[in-house]
Amino acid sequence: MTAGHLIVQLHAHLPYVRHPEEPVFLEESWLFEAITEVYIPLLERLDRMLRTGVHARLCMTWSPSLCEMLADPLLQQRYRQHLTALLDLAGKEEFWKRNTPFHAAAVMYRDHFQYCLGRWDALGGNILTWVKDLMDAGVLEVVTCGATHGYLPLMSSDAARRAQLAVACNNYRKHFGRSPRGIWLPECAFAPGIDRLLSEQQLEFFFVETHAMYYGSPRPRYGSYAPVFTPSGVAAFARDPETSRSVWSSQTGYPGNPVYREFYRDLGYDGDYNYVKPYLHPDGIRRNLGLKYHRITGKVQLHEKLPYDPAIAHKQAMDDAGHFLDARAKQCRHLTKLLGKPACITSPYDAELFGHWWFEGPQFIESLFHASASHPDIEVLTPSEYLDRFPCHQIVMPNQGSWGENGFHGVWLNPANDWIYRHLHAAEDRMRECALRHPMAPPLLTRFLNQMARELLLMQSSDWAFIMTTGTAGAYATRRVRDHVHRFTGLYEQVMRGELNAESLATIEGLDPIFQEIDYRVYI
Amino acid sequence: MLPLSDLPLKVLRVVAQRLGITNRAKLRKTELVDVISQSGTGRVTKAVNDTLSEDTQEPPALQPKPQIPTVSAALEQASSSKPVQTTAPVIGPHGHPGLPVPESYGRDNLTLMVQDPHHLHAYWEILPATLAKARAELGEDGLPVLIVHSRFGAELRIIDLKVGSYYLCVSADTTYRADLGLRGHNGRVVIIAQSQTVHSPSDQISSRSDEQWMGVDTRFHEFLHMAGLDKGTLSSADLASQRGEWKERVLSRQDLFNLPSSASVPAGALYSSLDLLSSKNLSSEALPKKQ
Repeated sequence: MTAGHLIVQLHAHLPYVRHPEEPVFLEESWLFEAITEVYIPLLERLDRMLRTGVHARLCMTWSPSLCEMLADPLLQQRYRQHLTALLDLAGKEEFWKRNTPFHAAAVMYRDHFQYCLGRWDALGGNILTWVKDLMDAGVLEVVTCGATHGYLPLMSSDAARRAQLAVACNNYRKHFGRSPRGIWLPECAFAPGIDRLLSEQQLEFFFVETHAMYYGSPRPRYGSYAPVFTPSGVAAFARDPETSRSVWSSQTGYPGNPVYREFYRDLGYDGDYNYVKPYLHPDGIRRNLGLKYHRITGKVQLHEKLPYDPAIAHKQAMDDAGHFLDARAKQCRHLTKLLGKPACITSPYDAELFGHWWFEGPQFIESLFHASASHPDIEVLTPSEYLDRFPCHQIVMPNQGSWGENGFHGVWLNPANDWIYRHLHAAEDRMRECALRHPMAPPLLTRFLNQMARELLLMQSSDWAFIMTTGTAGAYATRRVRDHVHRFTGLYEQVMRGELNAESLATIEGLDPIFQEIDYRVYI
Repeated sequence: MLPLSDLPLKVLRVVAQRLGITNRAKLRKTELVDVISQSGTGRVTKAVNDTLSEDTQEPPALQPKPQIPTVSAALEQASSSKPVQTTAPVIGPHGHPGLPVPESYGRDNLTLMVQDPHHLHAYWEILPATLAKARAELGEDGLPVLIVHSRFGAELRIIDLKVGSYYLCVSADTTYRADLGLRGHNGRVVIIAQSQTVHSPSDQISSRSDEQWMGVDTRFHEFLHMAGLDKGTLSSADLASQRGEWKERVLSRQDLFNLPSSASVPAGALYSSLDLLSSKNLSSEALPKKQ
């Protein structure tokens, strides 16, 4: 008898970064790295399991802003150029690394980049078609997210929140040809009342942080081990803390194993400068290229790291997946006695953990499904499958919370970034004001209002506030917020004065073409 | 493309104009080259090509002369009802800290935001005219204060208006509202702005342990749709009227009494398969006899 059900949810999201004004833009590499290191490896493994008949059930967010970038012809073309250059470098590396302990890794990169290029061309440059195929086959459930990953609890009004959700659901229908059943709230950030907005969009489930469930009202009888229904009828699945620690923890988590690939040794820094320079950004600054040849080794200095062995790391990933599943089975057998029924373990992670930060992550996922396919105690399900099979749950309103540090909103609201909110809130009010004033706008005015909506959505991306807190690309995040506020304000002033400059609008439309299907009336 | 430094100064000024660079008339050639270079290779190339393919004379000034104002200047002009052609640059060069954002939104505002169970963030904007009016009413400059209202009463915090924001220590699971005002030396407060209401999250397990349960079955929506009842709730009068219409249609459709399969229902028929099935349940006196 099944002791428990496991839901694995990977959240794939990137902020919308697209700069046609420059031929090479540094921050676009976030997308290119993710495609090569995370998305293609995960989809490849799901595809392989489908073809070989291994029972796999994965839930993933493919956020609207990520989907828009993946479907954008300019970014597709730039990715191909990026990948072609990487393949060229990998070819050279395979040659120069012969008869060294690094050769196996060099062959691995060359083969992988070749595979990526072949798949990319076979898909016509749009991997969303691959995602759709896997959805149709039932191995992948895709949930939506906020349109631009806007932080819903910190918005000024339900109108602004509703627009993020409505645009997201429409965009999901555009890319996937069906309506989403579930949503990953941006940053897992929830506040009572948001569930009602989800219900308006006919969304059936979302996810909350562990303490949001435990501090919910009334107390959840099954803790975080069963979903609940909010009073609006939308189900909430709570993150399981035990599975999070086993993967996220840098000290005790699986990714810290000494045989796994070391992130902080990279050819971009280690290679001869003139050799790597053609593959760096035109500014010539050394940065990660994604070809890494050392393993974590242990608590040693970077220069003491030992060569990476892909075969050993692959085996370790398989072992770790087996260990993870055994731990879940033990957890569920214990919980079943307490709960009186099989437990539901929900394990959400950032997708980029699997492949980018933890190179062997995709292998871990594949091995996990291989192990669970024949495991007597654990069954892997998607959230929709779980709700279809178990439709009756306790009514609980989860507490406010997020999965950010300290569990609430502090990462997105603190002295490093609080200055943005007076601008975001003013823009939210102004957008609604204009939408209400012009419910049936003529064509040019409609274009203005739609572009105002785009600028508002883009400035609301929670990534900017997050980056300002962590400081990794703070200047870029600041620039993005300011630029979108500036453009929005310029458009707003023209609309309010009734003096529409079509040329300036066209320039802005060319810079920020996200959500071509948008209708500003989502703000009414 | 020619190196920028090889282009004549007048051409560089036109290129700079196309790129939305202000104060170009005051820049020396080397400075112009520097500023233009920051606009990104793609944009610069296009601007140069467009310029060289046209008359290199700087276009004559338009009437009224186009301004490239800061947003705050634009707001000021808007408030004086003079029309302004907004041609502000919409993109800054790479590495630029970002385009100007409004210094003021032209309205008095106090907003509370939840940070965590024990902290709120307040930000405000108070217009100079509002401040002056409050001081006049108070009869003195007064001390700017934030008054925080909750079930615990009203707490007063002294603030620096110029800072524009403040972090408050609060209690969990409590509703708060705030006023911003000026306090006179005699304790009188003139309120300038009021915030909305917020509720700080709980930081512990709920004391409620009563349980309610819900079953949501998506298949039910399918049944509802088949029954034609998913468009909204009908009053009993509406239902009675619908039943009447249905009966009329049934009585005029002799072919219904052979109860064909749903596939043979004529195109445009108004009946769902459930309507056809339910016709079997009509009492015999309601149905005309088969001919």
